Amino acid sequence: MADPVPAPWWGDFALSVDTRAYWRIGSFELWLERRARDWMVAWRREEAALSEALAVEVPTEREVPADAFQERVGFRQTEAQVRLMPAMADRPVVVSPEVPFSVGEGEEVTIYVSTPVWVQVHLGKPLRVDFEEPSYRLSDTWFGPSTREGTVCYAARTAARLNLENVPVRPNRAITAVRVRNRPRSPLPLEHLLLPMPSLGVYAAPGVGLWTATILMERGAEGDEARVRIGKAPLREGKAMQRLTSPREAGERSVLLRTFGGIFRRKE
Amino acid sequence: MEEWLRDMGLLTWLEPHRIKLGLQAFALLIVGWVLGKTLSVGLRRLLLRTQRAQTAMVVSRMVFYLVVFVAVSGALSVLGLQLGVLLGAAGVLTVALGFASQTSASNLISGLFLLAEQPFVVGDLIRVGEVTGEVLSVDLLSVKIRTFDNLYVRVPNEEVIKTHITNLTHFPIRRVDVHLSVAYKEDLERVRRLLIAVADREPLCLVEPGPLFLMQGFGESGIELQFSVWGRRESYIDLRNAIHQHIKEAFDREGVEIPFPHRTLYAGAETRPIPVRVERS
Repeated sequence: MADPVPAPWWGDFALSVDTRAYWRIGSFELWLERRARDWMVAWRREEAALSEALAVEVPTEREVPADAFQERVGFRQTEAQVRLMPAMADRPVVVSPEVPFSVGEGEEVTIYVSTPVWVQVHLGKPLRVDFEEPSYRLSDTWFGPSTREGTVCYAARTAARLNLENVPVRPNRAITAVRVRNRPRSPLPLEHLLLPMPSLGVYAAPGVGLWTATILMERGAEGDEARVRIGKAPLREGKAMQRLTSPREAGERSVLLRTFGGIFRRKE
Repeated sequence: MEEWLRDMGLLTWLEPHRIKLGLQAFALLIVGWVLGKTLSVGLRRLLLRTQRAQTAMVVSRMVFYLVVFVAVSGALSVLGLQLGVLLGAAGVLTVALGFASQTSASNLISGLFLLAEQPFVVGDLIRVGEVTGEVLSVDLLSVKIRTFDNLYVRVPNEEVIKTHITNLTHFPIRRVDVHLSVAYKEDLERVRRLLIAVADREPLCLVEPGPLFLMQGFGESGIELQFSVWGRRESYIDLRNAIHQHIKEAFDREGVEIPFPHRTLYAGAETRPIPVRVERS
């Protein structure tokens, strides 16, 4: 794959038979070992959510630790090429501000939220995803009006940063810009925010890390519904970033109209 | 003997053309049965691609019964029996059969109610009486269940209708209740914080609805508590194991005592303590 973006850990790599490669992506460690007829994939994860560690060793002499999870993928004959790609979460993510946050009446703010990416390993010819694991395991949560109705999501905390300069670039997290527009004449407390991660692709540009498409949320005039739209790829110096991974769920880019309760949850 | 057979009218049934008709009717039944089975199985496979297992099962069964009914009607017609007359005669027969097959009829009616009400569908985990397991099929007479230790249990529909059923997988999330007790000397606020921290660290434990900390009362050996956490129904067993293990680890690490039952011997207010003698070998 032609890759003009200097890839810290993603992209294409070549590995000869009986050699091993190692990646450290934040709190996630990955070992890949190519043999004549199979690939051995080993991984382990630390509990630290915000690690900035990054290492790419292709090939490496590093041994696979005993506490790493291992699996093997068999082929008629293995190919030298291997591709690592980031992907967004496979379920929506509910983010909660660390400190109570609300959008003033008639105001529009852009909140920058970073969430962990899933690491995909593409093997074979043609390349296909043979292994996928979240770089950090987010907690499960439930988003809905009752325990009967709702969706199983992941939960994440956010500092709800409003200045891009303050947003740290971490190797295993993608930044999503969420533009929230509050229309009615009342402030909008954001206790929880549901982000449709499976509908977002992953983008990258030099020096800015991983990004997703922008999410636009507009509170309706009635206040009980929200218009959610997945915007275009974020811009970097006036140019669109390079797309690394397509959204898991296609066809969600169009304008959606959902109930207010399904997107935001207000403080009672 | 031959005279007796003729008198009984049975000999006419042994005439060659009658035997031929009988064979034709039998062949029709066999063809109907095979056709019904083939259509039912094919339709079920087709429906399973897009529909729920329950819908596929009900539709394929209905098709099977319809084809078999047509085949039986055809076979009776070949034998020269009028279905209408037979059904009329069946009125009398029904009374007799009704007494004879009370249980089956009851199960049949219960089966129809079960299919209409759908308290559970194929693939659900249910508890009926003392049986807990996965529903394999909901038939006209019985519900087939596979228990967790891989036993095949047939529960009559009548029993299912009469007793209460618990569907363990109806809702997407479930609650795990942990009952525990801590020693009277423990700081309950500290214990509560510890338990909440355990739930926070466990990814299988849902953030919302949040964990529930409940004081159950003062027990014989310690303060009894209930700590409840929520999880996805698919990860119920994993969460149940993980949360118990992590609570034990956290209590051990922080020195929180989980009391085992103990008794204090009291020999009365006025008496002296019970003397204990230690002997060294």
